[in-house]
Amino acid sequence: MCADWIPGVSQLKSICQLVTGDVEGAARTQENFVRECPVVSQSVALGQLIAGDEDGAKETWDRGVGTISNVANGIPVVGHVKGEFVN
Amino acid sequence: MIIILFCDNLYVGGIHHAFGDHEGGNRALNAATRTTVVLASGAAAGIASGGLAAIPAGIAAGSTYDLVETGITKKPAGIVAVVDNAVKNPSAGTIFDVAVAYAGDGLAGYSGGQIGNKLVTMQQLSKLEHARAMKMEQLNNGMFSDGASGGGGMSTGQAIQLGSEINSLTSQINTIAQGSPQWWYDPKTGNVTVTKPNSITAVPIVGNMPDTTDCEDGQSPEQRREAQRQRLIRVYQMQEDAFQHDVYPQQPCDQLSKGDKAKCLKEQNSKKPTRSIDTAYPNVLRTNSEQLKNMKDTIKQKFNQDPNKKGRKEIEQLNRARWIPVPMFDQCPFTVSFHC
Repeated sequence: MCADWIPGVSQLKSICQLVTGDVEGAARTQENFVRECPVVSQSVALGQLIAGDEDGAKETWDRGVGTISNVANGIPVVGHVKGEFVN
Repeated sequence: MIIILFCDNLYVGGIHHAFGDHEGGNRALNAATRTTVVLASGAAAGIASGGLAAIPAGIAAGSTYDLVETGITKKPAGIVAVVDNAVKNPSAGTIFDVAVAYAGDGLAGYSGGQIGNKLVTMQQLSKLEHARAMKMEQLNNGMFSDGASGGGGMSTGQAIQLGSEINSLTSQINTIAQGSPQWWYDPKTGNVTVTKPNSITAVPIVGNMPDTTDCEDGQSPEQRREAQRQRLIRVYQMQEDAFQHDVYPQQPCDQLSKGDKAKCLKEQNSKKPTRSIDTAYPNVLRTNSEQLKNMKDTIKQKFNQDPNKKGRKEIEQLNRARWIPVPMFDQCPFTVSFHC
C-alpha cells in the first residue's frame, strides 16, 4: 500500500501488477488510491455517504486524512512541531 | 521523501489528532527527523560533489536511518519494512514499492543537494555583493566631497581603477546569478542584454561642461563643495539623458507582411534621429577610445619636450575636461572624476 495514494505512480504500479498477472493486487492498489489520495478519497467518502454506506464513508475519510497527516509528518519543522504538539 | 515516510507507517485508518497521542506524536517527530537527515546528507554530498552524489547519499542516509530504527525498535521500519514485505510476499506490487521507496529517498537527497548548493551560492553572492557595495561607497566618497573624510579628491585613474574592480565583481556576481558575466537591463531597448564577456563594456567619454559657478578663485570650501555638487547633479542629468539619446521615430512595422516589413524597417533606419545627444549638449566634446590612444601615442613620441608643453594640442581636451563619466553596469551607472 506504500505510495498507492500518489496519482500516476499508483496507476503505474497497477499496470505492473496486471502485466505480471496479479489482477487482485492491481485492484487493491486502485482501491487504496481512491481511498487514500487526497481530494479523490473525500469525493469517494461523500459518494459512500450518499449511497448510505456510513461505515465505509468514515473509513475512507479517515484513510484520506491519514495520508495528509503522514505527508505533513514527513516535512521537516512541520512534522517536528506536529509531533511536539500532539505529544 | 513523502513516499518513504508513508511507508514508515504502513498503517490504514485512524489518526492521532488528540492531545497525548504519544505514538502519533513520536511518529510525526520520527518522520520529520528522517526527512531532515536525508535532506542534510544530500546537501552535504551535493556541496562536496557539486552534483549527483546527493542521490546515493540520500538513499544511503534513508536506509541507514531505517536500519538503526529497526535495530532499536525491533520492528521493520521504512525501507527495511518495504524490503521485508517484498521478500516475504514477492510480487510486482511489492517490488515496485521497493523501487519507489529508493527513488523517493534519491529524490529527497537530490533536493537536499540542490538546497545545499543554493545556500552556498547565496553565501558567495552575499560576499561579492558586500565587496562591491564597499567599493561603490568608496567611489561615491571619492566623487562627493564631504570635507571630513577627505572625499572628492579621487583622480580619474583611481575612479577608473575602482570602476574596473566593480565591473569585475559584477561579472562574477552575474556569472553566479545569471550564468553570464554581463547581464543588465538595457534602458534603450527595454530588453535584458546578455553579451559576450570580451566585448567592450566601458567607453570613457571626455567632456567639458563650461560653468561659471564652480572652481572660481576665492571660493570658500563650502562654496566649492556646493559647486561640485551642483555640477555632479548636472552630470547625472546628462548621463541619464545620454541613455535616451538618438531617439528615432518609431512606426509600427510588426503587423506588415514580410516584404513591406523590410521596407518599413529600412525607411525607419534611414530617418534622422528626432533627438540626439550632440544637439542636446552641443558644448560637450566627446572623445572615443581611438582618439585617446592617439593622444597617448603622441605624448610618447614627444617625450623630450618640456612637460608643460608635451602634447599640448592633443591633450588640451583632456586637460580642460571637468569630468570623465564611464558608463558601467546597471548597478554602477558610471564613475565621475573631476579636477577642480
